[in-house]
Amino acid sequence: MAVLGILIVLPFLTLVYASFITAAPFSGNETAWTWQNYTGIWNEQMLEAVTNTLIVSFGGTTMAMGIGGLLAWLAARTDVPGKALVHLAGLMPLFLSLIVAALAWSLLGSGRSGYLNIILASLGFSFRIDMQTVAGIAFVHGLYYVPFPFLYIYSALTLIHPDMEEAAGIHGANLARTLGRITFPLVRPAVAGSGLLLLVLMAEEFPVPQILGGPRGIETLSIHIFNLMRQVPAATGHASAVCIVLTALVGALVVVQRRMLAGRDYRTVTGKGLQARVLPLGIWRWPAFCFVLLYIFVAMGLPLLALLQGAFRSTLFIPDIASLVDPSQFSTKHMRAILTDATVYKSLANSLIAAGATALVGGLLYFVLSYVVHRTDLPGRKTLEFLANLPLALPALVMGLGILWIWANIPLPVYGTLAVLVIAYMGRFTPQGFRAISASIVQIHDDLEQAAMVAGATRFRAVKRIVWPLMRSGVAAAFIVLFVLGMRELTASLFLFTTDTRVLSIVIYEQYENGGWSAVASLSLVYTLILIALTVAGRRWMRANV
Amino acid sequence: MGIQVRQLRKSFGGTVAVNGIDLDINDGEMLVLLGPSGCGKTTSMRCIAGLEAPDSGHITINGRTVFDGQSGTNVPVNKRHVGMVFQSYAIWPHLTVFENVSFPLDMEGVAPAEITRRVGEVLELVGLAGMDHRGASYLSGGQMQRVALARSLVMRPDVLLFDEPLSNLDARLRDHLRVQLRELQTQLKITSVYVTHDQREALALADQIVVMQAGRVLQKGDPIELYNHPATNTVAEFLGYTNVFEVDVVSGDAAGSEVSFKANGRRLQAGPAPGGNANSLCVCVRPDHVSLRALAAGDDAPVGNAIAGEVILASFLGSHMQYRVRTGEREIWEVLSADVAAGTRLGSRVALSIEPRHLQVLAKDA
Ligand SMILES: Nc1ncnc2c1ncn2[C@@H]1O[C@H](COP(=O)(O)OP(=O)(O)OP(=O)(O)O)[C@@H](O)[C@H]1O
Ligand SMILES: [Mg+2]
Repeated sequence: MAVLGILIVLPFLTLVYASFITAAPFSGNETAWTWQNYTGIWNEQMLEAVTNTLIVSFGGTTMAMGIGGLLAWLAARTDVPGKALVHLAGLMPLFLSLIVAALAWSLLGSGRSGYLNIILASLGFSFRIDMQTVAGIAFVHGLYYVPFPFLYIYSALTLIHPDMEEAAGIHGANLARTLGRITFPLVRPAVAGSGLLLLVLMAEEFPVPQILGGPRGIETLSIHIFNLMRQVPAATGHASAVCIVLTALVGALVVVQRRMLAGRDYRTVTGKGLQARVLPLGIWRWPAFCFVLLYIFVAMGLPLLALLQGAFRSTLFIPDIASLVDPSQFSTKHMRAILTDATVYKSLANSLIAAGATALVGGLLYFVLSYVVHRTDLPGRKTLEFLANLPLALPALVMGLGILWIWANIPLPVYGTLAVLVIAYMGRFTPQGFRAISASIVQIHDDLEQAAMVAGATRFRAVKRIVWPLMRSGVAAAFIVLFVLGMRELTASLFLFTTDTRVLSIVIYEQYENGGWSAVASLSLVYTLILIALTVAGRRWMRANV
Repeated sequence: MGIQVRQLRKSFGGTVAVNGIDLDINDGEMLVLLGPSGCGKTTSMRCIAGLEAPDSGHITINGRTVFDGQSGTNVPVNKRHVGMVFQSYAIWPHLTVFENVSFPLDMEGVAPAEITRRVGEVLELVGLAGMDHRGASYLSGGQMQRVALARSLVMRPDVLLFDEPLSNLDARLRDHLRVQLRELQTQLKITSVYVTHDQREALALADQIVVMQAGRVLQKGDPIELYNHPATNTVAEFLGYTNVFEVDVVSGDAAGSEVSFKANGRRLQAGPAPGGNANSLCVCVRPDHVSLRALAAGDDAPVGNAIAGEVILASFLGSHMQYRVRTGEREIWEVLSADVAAGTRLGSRVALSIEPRHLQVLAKDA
């Protein structure tokens, strides 16, 4: 409770405090209480930011849910060829940090010099792709948030007892009706849960709208907050007030979701091994496979090609399609420069340490948290659950800011070290970690644990011998996700890094702000390869040990 | 010794699941809790196990108070030394049969050699010898049930609790395991509580049956006593009496009475009416206490304590024939006849005769 308090509530309270005063909190400046922050934010810019936020969130969520749900269903329930590839497709975007994705798509589809537009022009089409629009932002969101619905829906689907679907078939339902009446309602918690998560994550997303929309002055709420903070002098009060408004909105969404799912017990696993049934797709097998390939190509292939282009070109200027493949235009000088740069290695080490610590310490914390919430009747567990979900409503920017205001003014040697980043990451990823681990805890029927206690085990030993081993794969998966999320984090780090604690994503962002596109592309490529290597190693390890 | 439960109460939010029940289980006996779905059987049992904290009451196991609402005593589940077979079996899927069964001994800190010996013994006892190293997740239902039983037996518990352990099995396996359970129970003499809503299971297994409804005890007694003398119509129905009819007593004394059926005014001689002033009365008769003979055509008024009717169902059960006979408006009797060769078939006109003492007059539950 205290830990969550420090990680989550304190930054939030700081923010609330900041929204009612005239100066930045704890800054030592003269300050006074005020309502001004709330009355002063409702200008035209704000309204446009709200509209844009809604468009990119709903658009992106719809697209990501469609793709993720379809992939999950194909992987879990059908005889689509190349199952491994489908899994890969569903998880792949995790390898690509969103900042990298946004940068790559900006190379691909911004103005006349976007690679795709050069190709389109050469092929004689008059149609042009423009990623630096609200639609472009929504598209990139939709493309790269697929892993969330994929993971949620996939695990829910594999946990449905095949008998339930078969029973529907027996009682006369055809495939479409079985899906609609049985399968979909059974995975509805997963769909609603991931859908809500996506809406909220996209609403507070920073790098994508910043990189794609920034050059054109397109603002979402988080960009609006960021710009308010960047003004000289920083409009801390207004920024905080905007955050509180966002928090209230998201809180309402969470309540709606709770209502929708109240009073239903979806545990269908009772410890009996399940043999999942596979549905023959018939003539749809190959179209489904092509869909998977297409998604992989658009989400991974194109951006990686773009990054390769950007990283290995000697000059940024591209006159036509021929020069895209002209060997004389290529050089390894940018890549060599990156690979010999000490700051890159330093930032890589920082990223690894911060993400690793977040995964380990955070993973353990979230396990304890989920256990207390779902398996005990301790007073205050509802509050805990609420707190654990609270960071969803706190844009990462703002958490970063709150943490900055707190730790920069506390006489503890935390600010300026990696520890402050770990604190921010742990707080920020609490909802994801808590949900991932809760999902596997609630799938384990109470009876299994109670049987151990009846057999004489203390609660601790029952958890250690029964619950923990049964959840190992779930927890390990959560660890890996946390690690990768930590490696990709940019937004909260933006306020918290110092020269010595720059992480990889920060180095890339700095290069982008300086306009060093070749360095950006080279670094992004390296960054992506590292993420891929880590994830693959993690999954290997998981398969071998869990 | 044994188990004493006094004035046990437990509610969940607004619903009262158990409303002040008393139970006494003698050492080495099996008590069966029988009742319809939702009547609080599982909850009562979970209170004894310590998985549920009662609102109030008192529970003693082998002389040790494990729960007392007044003093706040509540021995945690893992210190109660009870065994429990869950309805879902709760076999841990990530462990082998051996690991599942040895778990309680491991928790007690028994030496490894002793564990191997005792697990071997108990697996032998339940008929799973040689399966030690099978993974538990792919066992059949019956095997899981035996593993669950072995896991509880191996700890030599003070009390063994069963929550509908046979309800997920097919009928033959159920009959088979029921017999085995009875055998084991009489052999091992473990004090047990068994929850079921199947009256055949209850009658076959119990040393004592407690019939529950809506969180209360309706009647308790040994199976034969209970079966022969149900106190009320509800108890009679749970025990499998299919012939239960509402009546008024016309006249009667300690030797017997004359009753009139509410549905159609039919009059029959019956056993003595219960004392006190029950608002409403019923008669019940066991299907094997009704005798059936063919009626000659046109004979509509059989002599003696008998009724005429038409056979609407005839079903061969092996040792018996089961009949349903319509004897009037909203009045259908069930009859079990040992005379399987009688040749009575669907549509036959028959006379049902009942000895007055077998037509028991009961109070009707509100
Ligand atoms: N954990 C719980 N939370 C809320 N209500 C509960 C809980 N457990 C039981 N109940 C309620 O208490 C009542 C008694 O339940 P119980 O499980 O003891 O019935 P039962 O006799 O075992 O029924 P069945 O034969 O269906 O298993 C029911 O109305 C049930 O809905
Ligand atoms: Mg029950």
